[in-house]
Amino acid sequence: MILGTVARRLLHAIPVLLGVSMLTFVLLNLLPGNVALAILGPGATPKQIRIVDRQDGLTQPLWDRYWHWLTQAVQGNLGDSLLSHASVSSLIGQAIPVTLEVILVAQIVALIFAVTFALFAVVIRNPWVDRFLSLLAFGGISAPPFLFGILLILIVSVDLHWLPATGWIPLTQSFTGNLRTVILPAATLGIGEFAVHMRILRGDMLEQMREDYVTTARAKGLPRSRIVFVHVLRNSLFVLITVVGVNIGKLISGAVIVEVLFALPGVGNLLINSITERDITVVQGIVVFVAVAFVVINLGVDMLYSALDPRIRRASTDG
Amino acid sequence: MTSTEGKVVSTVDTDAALVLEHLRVTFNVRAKEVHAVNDVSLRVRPGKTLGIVGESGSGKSVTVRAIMGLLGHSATISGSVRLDGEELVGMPEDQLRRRRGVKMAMVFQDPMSSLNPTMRVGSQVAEAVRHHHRVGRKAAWSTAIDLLRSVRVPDPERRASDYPHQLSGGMRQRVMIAMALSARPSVLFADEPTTALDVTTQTQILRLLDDLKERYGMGVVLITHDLGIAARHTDDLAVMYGGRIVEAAPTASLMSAIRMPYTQALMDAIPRIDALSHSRLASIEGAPPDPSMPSPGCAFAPRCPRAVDRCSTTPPLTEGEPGHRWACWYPLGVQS
Repeated sequence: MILGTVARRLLHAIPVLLGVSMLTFVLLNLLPGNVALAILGPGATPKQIRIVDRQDGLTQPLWDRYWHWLTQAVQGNLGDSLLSHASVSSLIGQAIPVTLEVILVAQIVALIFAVTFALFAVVIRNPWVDRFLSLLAFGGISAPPFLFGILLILIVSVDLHWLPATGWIPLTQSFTGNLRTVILPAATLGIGEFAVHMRILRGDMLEQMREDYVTTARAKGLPRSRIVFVHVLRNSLFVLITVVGVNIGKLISGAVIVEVLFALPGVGNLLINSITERDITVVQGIVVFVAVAFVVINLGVDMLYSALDPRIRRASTDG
Repeated sequence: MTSTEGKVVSTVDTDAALVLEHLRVTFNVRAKEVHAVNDVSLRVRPGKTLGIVGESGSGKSVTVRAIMGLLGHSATISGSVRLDGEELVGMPEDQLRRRRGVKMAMVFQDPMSSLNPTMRVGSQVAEAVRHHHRVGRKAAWSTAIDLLRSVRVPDPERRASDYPHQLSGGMRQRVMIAMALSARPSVLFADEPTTALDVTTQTQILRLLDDLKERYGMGVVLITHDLGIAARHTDDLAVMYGGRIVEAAPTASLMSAIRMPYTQALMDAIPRIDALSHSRLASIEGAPPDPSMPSPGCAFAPRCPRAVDRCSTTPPLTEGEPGHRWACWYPLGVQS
C-alpha cells in the first residue's frame, strides 16, 4: 500500500516535471544575449556568433531542441555545458555536496534550536521569555536572509576575524576547515527557518495544552515538563513536519542567495553563473534536478508523516 | 449561613474519604468575578458513590475540577477540601500534583479526546503505573495489562498495543478507568463518564464502577445530568443548581421524598418507558442562570412554578429532615 502511494505520487510528478522543463526552456530562449557572446567576448561579430550558435545547435527550432533534450534527459543524460563542455550531470554532481551540506546543517541546527526554545517557553510559562521569543521569531521571519548574511560577515569575519567570509573547504579535505566555512552560510540560511519552526511549534504546543488528553495527563499527576515532552511534543510534531515540508522550496531558493553571498561552489552559484553566461543546458539541468529533488523530498515528508501518526498509518494499511 | 449547615458536615467526617466544607470557586474573567461554585459542603464515604446531579453550567464539573486542582490560574478556591483528613485548599501545586492520580483520580466525559491519540493505550496506563510506583518498563506494562483485565477489557495483552482510535467508546472508557485505578485512589471522580456512550455500554460502565468501588472500597463521585442514572448507581445524592447545592440526601430517601421543585423538574424530564407514544417530553422552561450575572434570591425562582415573592431572598440549605437537606422556602410535600 505504501509502495502504491509512492508510485501514484511519482506518476503525479511527471506532468509537473514536464511543465517545469518546458517553461524553463521557453523562458531561457526569451532571454536576450546568448552563450556565444560569453565565449567570444564583447567584440564578437554577428557572423562569429552565428557560427558558434550553429555548433551548439542553437539555430534549430525551439521545439526540436526541446524534444532532443527531453529524449536525452529521460535517459539520464542532461547534456553538456555549452561553455566548458563538461557534462551537466558532473557539474551538478560536483556542486551538490556543498548545497546539500549547507541546507542540511541549516535545517538540523534550526530544528534543534526551534524545538529546544519552544519546549523551554511552553514548560517555563514566563511572560518575559515569551516576549523575547516572539521578538526573535518576528525578526527572524520578517528580515531577509541576505541581511543576516551581510551582518554576520561584517561582525564575525571582518571585525572579529573568527571565520572566513567566503570560500569553501570540503569535508573530505579537512573537518575543521569545512566546519569553519559552513557555519556562517548555514547560520544565515537557518535563522529564518528557526524562527518559523519555533513560532509554529510553540503555538501548536500551547494549543495542544488545552486538549482533553492533557487534562487526563494532569489528572494522572504528571509534572508539566513530562506532559510537554512526552504527550504534547509528540502530537505537535505533525505540524512541525508539515511546515518543514512546505518550507523546502524556500530553503532551496535561500541556498542560492547564501551561496552567492559566501561564494560557495554549490548548485546555487552554478545556477547563477550559468544564467549570466547563458549556458542554457546547465540552467535547464539544474532546474529539472531541483524540481525532482523537491518532489522526492516532499514525498519523503509525507511518508514520515504517516510513519509517525498511527491514525494515518492504520488508514493506509487498511484501505 | 445557618447553624444546621455547619453541623451537618462537621459532626461526622471520621469515616469520610473526602469532605468539602463551604467550597467556593470564583473565576476572574476580564476583571469580573464569576461565582461558579458557592458554599458547597459534601461528604464522600469510602466504598460508596456520591452522585452530583445538575444541568450544564450548574457547577458540578467545576466543583470536581477544583478538588483535583485542574482549574487554571484564573480560579480562586476557598473553603475546605479534606482528602483522607488532609487539607487540599491552599496546598502548593507541586504537592497537590503528587496526590493527583494517587489519592484521587478522574475519568472524563469523552474517552476519545481524553486519551493521547498517538500513544498506545497500554503505554498510557503503564505511564500512570510507572509514575506512581517506581517500577521498570516491563513490570509497568504487565501491571497495565492486569489493570485492563480488571476493568474487563477482553484480550488485554493485544488491546494494550492498540491506539485509542482502534478501540470502541466503551473500551476507551475502560482504559481511562484502568488508568485511574493504577494507584488505588481513595476517591474516583467520574465526570459524566457515560454521556458519550450508547445506552447498553453506559450500563456496563456504570456497573463496572459499582463493582470497583466495592472491591477497592474507594469513594466514587459520579457527575451526571441524568437523575435516572443517579437513582440507580449512587448511595448519596446532591442536586446542584446555579453553583449551589439545592437538595442533598441519601439516594433512597431523596428519591422517596423529593422536596426541592428543581429536583422534581429534573425527575419529570426523564423519559418514561410507560409514557404514551408521541407524548410530549417534559422539559424545564427557561435557561439556567448565568453565573456572571447573579441575581438575588433563589436561582431557580425564575423557572419555578411555585415561586412567590419570598423567593427573591435566597433560601438557606437546611436539614429539614434527618440527613435530608434542601434549599427552598416552599418544599414539596411539607406542610408550611
